[in-house]
Amino acid sequence: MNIQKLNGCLEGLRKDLGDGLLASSIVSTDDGQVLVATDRSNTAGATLLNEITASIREGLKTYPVELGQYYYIDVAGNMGILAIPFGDYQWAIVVNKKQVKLGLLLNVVLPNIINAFEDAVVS
Amino acid sequence: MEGSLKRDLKLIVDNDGFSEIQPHAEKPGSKEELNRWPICGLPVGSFLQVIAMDQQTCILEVYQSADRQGRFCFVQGALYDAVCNGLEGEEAALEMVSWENVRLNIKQIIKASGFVRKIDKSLMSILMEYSRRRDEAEEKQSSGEEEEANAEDHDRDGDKFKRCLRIVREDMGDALISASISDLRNGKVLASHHDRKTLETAQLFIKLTGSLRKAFEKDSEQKRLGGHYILDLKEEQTLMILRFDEHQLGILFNNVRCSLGLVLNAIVPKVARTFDDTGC
Repeated sequence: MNIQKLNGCLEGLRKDLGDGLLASSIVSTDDGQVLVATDRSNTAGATLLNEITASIREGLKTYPVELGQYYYIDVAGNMGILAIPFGDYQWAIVVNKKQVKLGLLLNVVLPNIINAFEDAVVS
Repeated sequence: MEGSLKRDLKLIVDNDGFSEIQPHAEKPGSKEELNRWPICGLPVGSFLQVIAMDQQTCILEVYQSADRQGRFCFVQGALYDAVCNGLEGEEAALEMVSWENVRLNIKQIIKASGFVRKIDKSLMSILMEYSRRRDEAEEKQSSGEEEEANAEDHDRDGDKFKRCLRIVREDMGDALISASISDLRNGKVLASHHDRKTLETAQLFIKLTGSLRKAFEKDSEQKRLGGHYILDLKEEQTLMILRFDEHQLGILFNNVRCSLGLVLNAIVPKVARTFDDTGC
């Protein structure tokens, strides 16, 4: 794991999303500890998302199918949450969905940051 | 008091004089005679209570129409018998108490010793039995109407769900792996795209939404699940759930054959319109 690269991931995200980025954090899925985070990130929220990922994985086992690179949850109000689980880590990104279009987030931003995240984790 | 009530009664009805008839013995008079009888706007049951209270011994003739006419027999205010349209006793009384806007005629009885009492129940019991039957009938009717309305809603919703699935099926073609519409309140699958794994995936969709809702309940900021969520899955599959109040449409598709962008921009708006068009 390369902390500098992880911080670089958040920095790149800030540039891509601008004001549309509400909060972001990278957590360890084992214990829910936050490794790096933006200023306004909510530690409890990141931990909760960790639990959500675990419950999704558990639910998918019954089909059976495995979670891929990401999932996106539309939240009532202005928020949207993008979660990128990778190995023992998960990157949570909270956006203002009025400012960040879902198509832009999933088709343009996501492919770039997934590569950067995977690179930071395996380094 | 008794005298004034009698006087009042005489004002309401055209008392035909005294009679020694039995309730079954005589048919109502000619049409001209019937037309002379005053019309009572109250239900017959209310009028019977006045007669009972006044302790009258009389035959009360009731005429509403050619096929709705009959008579009651009272002895000292007690209801002894009733006849109407082939019914006798209690059943005849129960039939007539609800009639309204009838013409009434009272025939006083001089000698009541020969009358056989055919109605054992008190007038109050008869009226209560009538109320019970009426309530029961109303309840039955309203539940029938409700069932009918539910069935209509069900048919309309069923049709709408099928149309939504048809859009998904036609637009996604062979990229569609599974699609179903469920009711989140009871976990029922309401419609599904026919596929051998549909039921499994429908249950998966319901389970996932349930887990997410439960997880959000723990959120300190009280965030709530919004209108959709998307899961990227392995083996080039994407799972998308669209929520419409308490219904949800779950779609599992191959994301190489049909891109997420196409689903989000072309298919989802069409499906959402179909749901909204019919007010779901």
